[in-house]
Amino acid sequence: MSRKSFNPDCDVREWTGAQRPYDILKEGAIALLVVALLTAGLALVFGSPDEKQVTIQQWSSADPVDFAATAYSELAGTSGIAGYGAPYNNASDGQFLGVTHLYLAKMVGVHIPIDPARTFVLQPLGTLPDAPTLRFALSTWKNASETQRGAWLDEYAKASLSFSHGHLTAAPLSLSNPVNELIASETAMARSGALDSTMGTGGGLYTTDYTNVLLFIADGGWFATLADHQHLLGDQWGMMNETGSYPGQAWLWLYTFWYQIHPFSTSGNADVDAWGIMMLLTAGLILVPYIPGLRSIPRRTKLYRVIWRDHYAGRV
Amino acid sequence: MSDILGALVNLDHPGHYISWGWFQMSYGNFAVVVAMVATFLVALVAPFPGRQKEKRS
Amino acid sequence: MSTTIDRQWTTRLRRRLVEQLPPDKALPDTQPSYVSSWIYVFGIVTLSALVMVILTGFVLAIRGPQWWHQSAIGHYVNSLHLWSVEIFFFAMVIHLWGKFFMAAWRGHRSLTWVTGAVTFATSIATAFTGYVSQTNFDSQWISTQAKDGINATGAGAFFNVLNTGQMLMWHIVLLPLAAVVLTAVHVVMVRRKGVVPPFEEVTK
Repeated sequence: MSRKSFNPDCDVREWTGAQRPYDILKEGAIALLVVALLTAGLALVFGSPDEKQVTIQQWSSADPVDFAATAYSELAGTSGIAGYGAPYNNASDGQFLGVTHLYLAKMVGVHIPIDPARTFVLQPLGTLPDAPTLRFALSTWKNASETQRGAWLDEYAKASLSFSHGHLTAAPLSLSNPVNELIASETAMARSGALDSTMGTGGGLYTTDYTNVLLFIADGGWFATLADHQHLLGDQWGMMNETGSYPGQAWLWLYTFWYQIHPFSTSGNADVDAWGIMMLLTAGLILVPYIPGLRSIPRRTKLYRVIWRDHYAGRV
Repeated sequence: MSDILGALVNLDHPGHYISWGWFQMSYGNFAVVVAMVATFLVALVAPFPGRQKEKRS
Repeated sequence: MSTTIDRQWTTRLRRRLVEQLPPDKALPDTQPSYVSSWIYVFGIVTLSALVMVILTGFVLAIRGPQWWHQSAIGHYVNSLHLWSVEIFFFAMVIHLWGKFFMAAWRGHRSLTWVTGAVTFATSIATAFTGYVSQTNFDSQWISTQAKDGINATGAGAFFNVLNTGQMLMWHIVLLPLAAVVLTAVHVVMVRRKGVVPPFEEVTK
């Protein structure tokens, strides 16, 4: 290589100088031993968190009003998931990336179809046996027009979703209105624990997919209140936090950072923008050796002089 | 056995947080990050054992 | 006769392997004299932590995903798994800082840096799928939050973080395999090329 084309940030003359003895296996064995002892010690001293899971049953007992309001919003199509868009439904266009107006999720399409009224309310209620009143309410709902359903929902909202002492006040509804029966049955089913198992994807005994249950719980306000107590909300840098006082995924600091600052903190596209930025930065990290300027930082900062001080001092 | 394996320091209580404007970090994460930077600096400046031997010989 | 042997796939692969990674490079007994700093130990510490992560993961796998909720020993093994992961990331980040300030990609070593950085990203994904596979409040909250980011990229249609079974499979099969293969490639590259020499300066 000619001296002229030699770039100190990319090229190097391979070492032909002195060598020192080095036992790679011994070093590996010592490192493994030290790490094993350190792991055993840290695990013994600090343990690990295991905040128990929450269920729909707990939710409906702990905050029945929030539960009923959420079930109502699923039925009325006003919940978070009802307006989510892809991959669950076509209710909205979702987020677009930066200034590109590329609606990435929408472009990929609906792959986990969810109709909130059916998935979270009507289908589970349809599994209840020996409930003639509920059967009648369900078929009334099913056979009604959209306008009629809207009128019933409005009536229920005005009459029933007024709360006193933390309980739903049952004001009289028109005789044909099935909404009260649907919400009351949904609540009873939730309190019995049946809703938790019915909503598992797959419909049988076995399931390993809890998409529906989790989406339903997350549509309510109670779940977020619990997370707030644990300091896990998005605007609390929650992504890198852990339940209790344990360290969390600290390596997510840069990803969660974007959610805290303007314009992302108030943007409806924060998720896709934060991901876009992180993908770009990750690509940058991977490609450091090829990026002029970035790859010169080590040579310019001269921190290497500390690392190789023995070499430069001629001590080795 | 289960008593021995339980954590000696109980971290199952609400965390404490450093807040500085929009910046927030849990004490747990802060401890890890500080330890990481400190370890890096110590690794840079701490004398490496092999060296003295080489020097003397 | 010898040409037949020379042309065999096996012979050609063996010769290539020995040529690319001769035994004295694969298992060296000396290092260049400039390798004289504690910063050099964080690669092997990361590797050791990875071994611990995998071993403790194996123990958790033996009794299945619910065991650690029900047994004190299971919970302790979970603690081992968590803390070996903390050490793994801790050491890996220091390793990354160290290699950055040594500009360790010099002298046709850029792919070593690239595989290392990709391993770092893969490890973050692996850890994440672990967090959402815990089957406790943590995994419920993290998965319902993370879905929005992943959905917004379009990936959520296929990578459903709320599908516990899918996430567990990614966590214990696909991503660890990727991380281990990448690590192996990374280590082989380091051994092949050796440790990067210092920047040339006028020695005093």
